[in-house]
Amino acid sequence: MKTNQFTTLKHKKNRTVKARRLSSNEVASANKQFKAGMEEYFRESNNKIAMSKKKAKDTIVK
Amino acid sequence: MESNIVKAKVIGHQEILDFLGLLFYEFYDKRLKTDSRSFRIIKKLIDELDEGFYFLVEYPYVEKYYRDIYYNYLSTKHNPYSRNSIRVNIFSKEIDYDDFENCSISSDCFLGYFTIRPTSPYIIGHSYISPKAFSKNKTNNIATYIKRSIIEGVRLVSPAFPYSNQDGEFMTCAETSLSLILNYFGAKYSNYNSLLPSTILTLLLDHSDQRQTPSSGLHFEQISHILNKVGFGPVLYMKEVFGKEFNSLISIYIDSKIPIIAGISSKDENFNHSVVIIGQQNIQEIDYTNLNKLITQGKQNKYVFLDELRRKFIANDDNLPPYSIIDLDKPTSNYPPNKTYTDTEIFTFVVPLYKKIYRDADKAKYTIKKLLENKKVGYKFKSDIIIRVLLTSSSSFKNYIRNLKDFNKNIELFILQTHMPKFIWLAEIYDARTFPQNLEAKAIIVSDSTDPIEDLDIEDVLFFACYPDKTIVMDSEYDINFDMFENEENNDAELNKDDDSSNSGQLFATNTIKNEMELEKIIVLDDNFNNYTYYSNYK
Repeated sequence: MKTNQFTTLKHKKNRTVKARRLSSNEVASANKQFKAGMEEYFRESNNKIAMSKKKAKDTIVK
Repeated sequence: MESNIVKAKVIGHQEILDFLGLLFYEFYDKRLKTDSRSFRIIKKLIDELDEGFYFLVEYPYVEKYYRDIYYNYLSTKHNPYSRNSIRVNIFSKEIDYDDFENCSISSDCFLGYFTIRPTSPYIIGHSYISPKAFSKNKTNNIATYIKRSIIEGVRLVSPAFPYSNQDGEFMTCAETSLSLILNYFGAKYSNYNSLLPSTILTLLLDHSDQRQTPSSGLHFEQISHILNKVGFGPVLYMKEVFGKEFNSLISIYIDSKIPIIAGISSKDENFNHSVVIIGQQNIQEIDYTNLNKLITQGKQNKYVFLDELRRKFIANDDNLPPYSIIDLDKPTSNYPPNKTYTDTEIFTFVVPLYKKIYRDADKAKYTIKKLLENKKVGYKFKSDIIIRVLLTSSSSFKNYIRNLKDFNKNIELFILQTHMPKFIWLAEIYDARTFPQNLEAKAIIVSDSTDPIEDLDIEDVLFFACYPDKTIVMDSEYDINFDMFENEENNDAELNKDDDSSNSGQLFATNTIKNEMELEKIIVLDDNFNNYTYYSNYK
């Protein structure tokens, strides 16, 4: 993916950005927070879509 | 009987109505009686147009959708029907037939057209009228495409969303709504095709147990089936299942400029209808008086989602003139007074998503909330916030970022280099105290639309998040150039500060690349985010 042209283009920018990489512990903590409740919500959302599909046959519009 | 072009220069609404009445009688051998439903339908349309327009009327006009209905159904009936339509072109200034002969007419004054067909009482055929022709739409956001028309040999263009009456026999509201949606997407995007009415019925053959004509309507599962067949990834939502989130989901999709087909039913079950919702009221016109009541206390912020504020929407309902303004909780408030229409609701809708959008609005909104409230990758704002969630194409978004004035160049570079799918979920965060007067976003969060899995890490969902004084990006071999940090020598101790000092992050510099395989992908940039204003697909 890194063609010469692409790399050259990036090098031209040559910008300096103050940055910090999150540590493994920080990322683990962030992911734990992020995933809490996610599975339940997604399962419920998928069930709602499945239920909607089922009920969509009940009414004919004209 | 079938004369060549009829040209007319008509001033005022009453004259065009009289003139169309004459043409209707001459060409279709039927009178447009003033007490007839046909007359009321066409009068209502003309009454809603701004005053002072001029009309060029053409007959015979070959309107392909009507012609398809004629050959596949009307011509098989004993009673004769004309196969031709009348086309009424609308101009905002005085025109003369010589303007066409001299090619001196331009699109500036062209406001589209409507067609009339002999299918009483529902006589308005496929039409493309500019929203600008209606004063009610001066500020509304409406999904349109540029409709190209050739009138008397002159090519004219005008923005429009297709509109048509149902004919009540070959096409009920369900097939008509499908036809309008497919017409819009087919004309606007190369991925899709417009379908003629007979093709829609053919696609339904394996999904119907009875004869298809005369049509007895469709249920939403069939509507969704057609959309699926022609290349969309449709998702169906029922109000009784999604509850209070239902209107929010409509709002998110319409804010994303994705027209939807919505089903309306009356409580007495005498009325089941479908409409196409194609636009929304401008944010300046939303009622913000109840904002404080809607604000939720989250883990870090007090927030409200913009889609939860009550606003009005624009719909093409074949029972009403184009671009009707509707309330989601009272979708038939524009209907004539009738007991059936007083208690109606939108009970379902189907959204024709691009087939590779796997994370729908419900899940995307929840994901955004989780990201924003996260103590590591989220942000604690000083004041209450309004969160706006919408779907957009990554290319349009990057183009928008590129054209922002005085936007932080470092952040711009990261955004432009970030590899993203065709569609992304964008969240904009505004200060609730100053919105909508101040449309400068305090923050944005951009996340994936192509992964529906719940057990993803943040780095697999989040592309980047820009907050007032920091930006979260994902380190990637392709997207973030390590060289951009190559000159980083100033090991500012402030950067290593963290609420848990034992977990302090590493300063990201070239010398850390050697351990690349062991490094986490989430990087916090010390850059200010500002000068980003309200992004809209409608612009």
